[in-house]
This record gives sequence, structure tokens and C-alpha cells, in this order.
Amino acid sequence: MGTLWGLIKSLESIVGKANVLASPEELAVYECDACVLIKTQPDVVVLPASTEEVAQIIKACNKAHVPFVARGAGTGLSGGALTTEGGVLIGLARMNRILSIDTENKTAHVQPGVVNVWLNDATCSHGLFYAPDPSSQAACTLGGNIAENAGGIHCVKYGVTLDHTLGLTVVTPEGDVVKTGGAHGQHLGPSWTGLLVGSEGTLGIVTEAVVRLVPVPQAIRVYQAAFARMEDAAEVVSSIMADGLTPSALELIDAFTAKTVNAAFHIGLPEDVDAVLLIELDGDHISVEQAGSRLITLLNRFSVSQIRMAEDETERLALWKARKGAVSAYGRILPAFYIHDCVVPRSQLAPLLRQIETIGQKYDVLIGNVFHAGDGNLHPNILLDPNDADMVGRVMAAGKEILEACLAVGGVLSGEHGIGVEKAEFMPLQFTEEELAVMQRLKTVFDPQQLANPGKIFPTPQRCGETRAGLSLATLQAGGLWV
Amino acid sequence: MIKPLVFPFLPSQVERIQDERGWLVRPDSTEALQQILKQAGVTHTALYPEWGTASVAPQAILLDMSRLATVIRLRPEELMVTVQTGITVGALQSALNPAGYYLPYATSPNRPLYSLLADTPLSLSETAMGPLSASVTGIRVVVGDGACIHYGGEVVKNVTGYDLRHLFMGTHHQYGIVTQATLKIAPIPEQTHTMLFFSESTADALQRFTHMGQQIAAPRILALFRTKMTFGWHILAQVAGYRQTVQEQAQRLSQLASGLPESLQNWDAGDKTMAHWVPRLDWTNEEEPDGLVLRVALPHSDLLAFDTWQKAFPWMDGADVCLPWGTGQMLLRWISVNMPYATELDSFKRFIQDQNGFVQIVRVPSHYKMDVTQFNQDPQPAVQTWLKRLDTQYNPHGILPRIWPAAPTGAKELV
Repeated sequence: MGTLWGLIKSLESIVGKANVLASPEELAVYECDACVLIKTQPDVVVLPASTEEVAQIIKACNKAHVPFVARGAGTGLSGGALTTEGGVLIGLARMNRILSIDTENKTAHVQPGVVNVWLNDATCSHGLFYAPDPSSQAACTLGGNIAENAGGIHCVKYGVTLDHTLGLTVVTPEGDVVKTGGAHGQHLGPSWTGLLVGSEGTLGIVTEAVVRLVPVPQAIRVYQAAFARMEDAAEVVSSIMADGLTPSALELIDAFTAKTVNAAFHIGLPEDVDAVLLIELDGDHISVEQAGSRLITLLNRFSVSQIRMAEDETERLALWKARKGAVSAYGRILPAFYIHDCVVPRSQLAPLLRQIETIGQKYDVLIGNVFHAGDGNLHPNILLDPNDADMVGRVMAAGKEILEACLAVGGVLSGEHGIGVEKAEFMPLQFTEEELAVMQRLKTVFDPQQLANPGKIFPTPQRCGETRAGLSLATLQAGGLWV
Repeated sequence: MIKPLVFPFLPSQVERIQDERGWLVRPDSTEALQQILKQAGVTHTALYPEWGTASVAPQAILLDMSRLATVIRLRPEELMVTVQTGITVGALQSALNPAGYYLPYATSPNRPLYSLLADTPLSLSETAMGPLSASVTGIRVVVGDGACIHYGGEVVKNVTGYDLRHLFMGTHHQYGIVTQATLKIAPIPEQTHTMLFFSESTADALQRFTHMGQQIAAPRILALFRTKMTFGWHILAQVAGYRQTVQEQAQRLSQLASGLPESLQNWDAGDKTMAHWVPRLDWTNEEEPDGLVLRVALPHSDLLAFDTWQKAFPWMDGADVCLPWGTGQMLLRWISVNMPYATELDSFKRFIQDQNGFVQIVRVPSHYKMDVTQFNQDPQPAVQTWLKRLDTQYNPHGILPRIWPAAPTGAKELV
């Protein structure tokens, strides 16, 4: 308590009393992120406004040997912004400025608290946009996107956050300020940017970023294709990519989700089918025209029950709004969901989706699939009522079985949500002990004191015995976590 | 301390030969390489992979990866291929082409993949594809102490743990040796069109190059270069994709080249042109003449102003130049004569740093008196600390090349 009191005083001297939150009511706001099954409060929240303040905060934490965790908007789905071992939560929301836009070099210099969609709002008048577009882009921040190497609907063509991150200003876990890369996107030495993006705040805190912008395409077309069989939809996905068509988006919506979305948004997605594909093509007019013709020819080789093209921009935007709002539509059925984020080779999509259906029936849980088919990035959304302990248990077990099925076909645990605390115990399912040890050496390089976002990514020792059980209800309760 | 070769306990299938370069070991599997590294660690014997590393220390062992050179798995439905990294790019392309696929990366065909992954030299393909490392979705690596890690695979997205590809690619084997890689491939385009333009005037060449880059959507290759052998400036352009798109882009390129004498334009340069120029523009390739090669990193629009630098740095007039469009980097080269002095390079480095860029010496001839290590050092103290710790963690016995602070190809003892 004495240490905490002294630390709070130090923090107040850095950012001002108004930007240090320590009362129970204030801390309750930060007890969870979008991973709603885990709740844990920080000891104190601090809201810096500059790189220098972040550096001073981290030095104060080092001095007190108190762990710290960075947080953007709290939209993360893996519990990455939770202080599972207590400590200081560093909220970056005040660092929300777009510092500059360079239209000639197509870059933007931003602070981590900039909301993803704000950047597009600022750049679209210059004919440019920022491509990584997670479904939460209206709320999530660029700092969080960088921490998780976020993807989104358009990353099948444009790449993920790392592909658009040219340089960073980082405060190291020891409180030093380092610049990596730059507007040129190159490194003198190892690619520090490549190591830091996606490191979930465990190797340092990003306080500025130089990001790449891309030209708004001349033409965009969205096609909707409906399939009586999931297998046909999955095969079309593989064929589209193998043909070299390079769609700007390729999303699959299963029947359950189509019905749910229609009920919520009245979009008119086909419901008497097994799967719907949304396929977007963009580029110059000639390329889009040619690609569209090839796509129709390709689709007609398969058993597609319906093909339509969005008539106009309004309809195109409505389709994407429905896709991005799908998970919120699930809320009409059950109040929460547990989403997985595994990535598999595209050729494995069809058999895996059938397996997921079987797993859902086995555990008597509802699973909606709406995901980035072009990337092989599955998002099985397992619906649940967090107040129903039995249901939560079944959901956890189903989730673990889904992950095991994905790994068995050469998949990986996460494509864009990160490991956080939610999937840390599953890491031994993908990596051997030796491999985890090799990976953890990197943490030691950047954070020898192990203060930066501890308890994330790697299974913690007390959970080692439960790694095969996954994130079980008992584990959650034993850790004092809310369920 | 480097001790003479003592490898008594290596498995029999590991070839050991001695030639004019010294001792070579040739593992035939990742497991064999692990044993070699473990043995090297125990005996404190330096191990240097062939191709593209710093100079070989006395009594070091050369690592020859040529027995790890097979295509393990081609997955056209995933647009991926998994290979052992001793395979040359030429051999890989030969394996892919009959199936209708290729690796969209322009480089000397006889460079082995492990060398490219370690050194990530600037390629003309980076205009369209980004660096080669961006095409790698999975790696298998033997770390400096003999441990082995497999990261990624036949998946195009992955945020599972730390992305160790960025630790082992582009780091010149210092932390480990990549023995296996999964790479993205592409269907051979419906049509490819290559053009080569020539201009005597720097201003004219830059103007045309800029217009081409601004007006051609996604060229596969677009590079401006000058070499002492060619006299004047070349623009190499390649567009690829659907037939109609390629024809339209080729027409636009020809319009942008209008006004140049017809004898100085090659509208259909084809594969022979690429085969001629791609290796000759790979200046970090040991097969290219020994020379001083600088890599300059700046935002693209600043690089396009390089002709203005000559007022402050007249010695640039003697440089070969290679500037691929939109990559944020360019190469400068001097062979044999007119090399800048060390003090001139230091001034140039500061000039570029003032514009938020950097200059790196990537190749230096043996006779050049320069503290390359110091020149290439990242000045940030925290980065120096990271580099020391990385070496401790991943190259604990110091048997792999200690590049950082960087020492480029061909460097001998520093003055």
C-alpha cells in the first residue's frame, strides 16, 4: 500500500492529479475490455498526453517495480489491456492527434489514441485512405491496432497493420524513447518495427506511428454470391485466390448469421442457403471490369444459387455495415459471445466449418461464423450468457476444441486479435516448450524486469498444469476473475 | 576465442570437406545443423554461412547449405510453397513455372534463398511486392545455440506470439539460420510487358520516371538506374496482369516516353532484358564486381531530389545509381575509382540524417579504409542495448557472424 501510495503521488506529479484515477468507481470503468469473460481492475489508471509523460510514468513504475499495461479504447478481444497482475494502466486516449499527413509520400504521422476511422475521415479528401479496417474501427485506436497487428476486411488485398506501419516512436519497458524505421519504412539493423507490431504491449508502448496510406481506388464493386452448400462457398474462396483475382475483400457469412443480420438490419441477405460470400473488387475501371467478368465466369463454374452485384454505393456500404455489425446482431439472441480468431490454410475452410458445426451440436451452443475467408481467418462466434455458468463452461470447452481442430490442419491460434490473456494457455498447443522458450528470450531482451504487460501471450507458471484445460471456468474463478 | 576446428562428434552424414577456402560443413537436415551449431558452441568455433556475410574470420568453418535445397511442398490452392532454404531462386522458379506459378521476386537466379532471407538486399520487385520478407509466411530456424523454432506456416495472417520472422530475416544469420521457409507465390500473369528507356539527361530521366510512377497503377517493376557501363540513365518498366490492362499500361508508358529518340527505346524488352539487368543491379551480390555500395533511406519524394545533392556532394557524379520506385531506398555504387573519402561519407550521412533518413554501407572493397562498424551504428543507446542482449540470447557462444554493429560484405580488418 505504501508503494502504491508513493507511486500515485509520482504519477500525479507527472500528469496532474486530474489524470490519475484511483477511486473504485473510476477503476471499475477499466475492469475489462471486449473480452468480457475476464474482469480485473488495475491499481491505478494514468492518462498521459505525451511521449515524455509516458516515459516518466514507466520510469516511475520501474522504480517501484510495479507492472504496467497500455490501453487504447478497450476494444481488444483477447484481454490484452487487462492488468491481470495489478499495477498501472496507462490509458492513451488523450494522445489522439493526427500530427501530420504527407500526401506526396502517402503517409500520416499519428498518436496512438487516434481512432481508426478518424484517420480515413482526415485523409479521404486527399484521395487516400488507411487500409487496415477492423470491424471495431469506429471505436478502436491505432495504438491498439499496432499492438495487435490488427487486420480487417480489406487486409486480404492490402495487408495487415504491419504492412502499413513505416515507423514507430516507442517507450521501452525501461523508460527510454526509441524511434524505429521512419517515413521511408527502412531499418538500420533488425526490423524493430516488425518485432514490435503485434507484440501486444509486452515489448514497449507505442506513442507515435508513421503509417502508410493508399490511394482510394477509382472503382469498387461488391458482389454477393449465395451457396446451398458451405463446401462450394469454401471452394470458390480457394479458386478466387488461386486465380490471382486478388479481391479487396472476401468474406463469408453462414446461414445462422445471415438470418440474424437480416433480423437486425433488414439487409435482405439470402437465408435459405448455407453460406453467403461478399466479394469486393477494386482498382482502376478497366481492371475492375475485367476482374468482375472473370469473377462471374468463375462463380458460374460452381453451384452458386444467386449472384448479385451491389447496385450502388448505398447498397455497397449497407452490405459492409451489416457484415461489420454482425457480432452486434448476435446480441439480439444472447447477451455476449466468445469469439475465436484462428487462421487456417484456405483449403481447410470447408471441412473445418463442418467440424465447428459438429462441435456446436456436441456442446449445445450456438455458433455463428462470419469471417475473412480470403485470409483463412475464421471467426467462430460462440454465443453465451455470462450469468449462466454451465453455458460458459460448455462455450469454453467448445472453443478449445475448435482451436485444436484448427491447429491440427496447420492453422495458428490468432490472425488479428492477439493472444492476450485469453489464449495464453493455448500456446503450448501450437508451440513446443523449446519454441516457447526461444520466443520468450525476446521478451528478456526488451523487458528484463518483466514489467510490461505481464501475464500475456505466454502461459504463466501457475497455469502450466491447466494448459490442456484451456481457459476453464475454474481457472477464471481461481484467479479471482469475474464470471 | 576462436579455436581450430574440432568436430569429432558430428554425425557421419554431415559432409566435411576442406578446400582452398578452408573447412566446409554440409548438413543435410535441420537436425544435422542443430548438432553442428551445438558442437560449434562447445568448441567455440565460428561458423559462417556462405554467401553475403561479413568476412570470414580465421579458423572459422564455412557452412554450405547446398544439401538443404529441396522443394518440400507446393500448394497451388494456397498459393504457397515450402522449401529448404539452400535452394537457389533459379531452381525454385524452375520448379514452380511448369505448374503455372512463380515467385514474384527479381534477383540473381543463382542466389540461395537463405542468403536472400538473411541479407534482404534491395530488389527491383519491391516496388510492387515489398521486401522478400513480406512474402514469407513461415520459417524454421536453428538458433545460435542449436535450439530450433518453427514460426508460422501456410497461413497468410498470424499474430500468435512474437513475429520471429523479423528477428531471423534481414539479420545476416547473426541470431540463427533459416533452414526452411514457406513463401507466397503467384500465378504466372496472363501477360507481362517489359520496356527499357534511355535518356542522357538526368533531369529528363527523372521527370519521365516520376510521371510513370504517378500515372501507372501498380507497375511490377519501375526503376531508374545509371551505371558506368551504360552511360546515361535507364528506366526499366514492367507491367503484368490481365492482357487488356497490360496493353493499356504499356500504351501509357510509351506515351510518357515520347520524345525520346526511337533508337533509345525498347518497347518489348522481354525476358532477356530482365535476365541481363536484374543480376547486374544486385550490387550486394558477391558475384558483382567489388565496390563501395551505399544504401540511402529517405521518403520517396526526397529520393527523387537526389540530383540536387550533387551540388553539395560532387563526388556523387561518379556513382552508379539504382532507384526502384516507391521503396524508400536507393543504392549508390562506386567500382574501383572515384570513391568518396570517409570524411565525405560522414558529411553525406549527416545530410541524410537531417532529412530523417539514414545511410548504410552495405558493401565495401577490401582496400577501403573506413570504420564501417561505427558508420553503420544506430546511434540510439537503447537500440545498442537491445543488440547486445539479442546477441547474448540468440548467439550466446558468438559462433555466428557478429554483424551488429554492422560490417558489410567483403570487409576486412577495420582501420
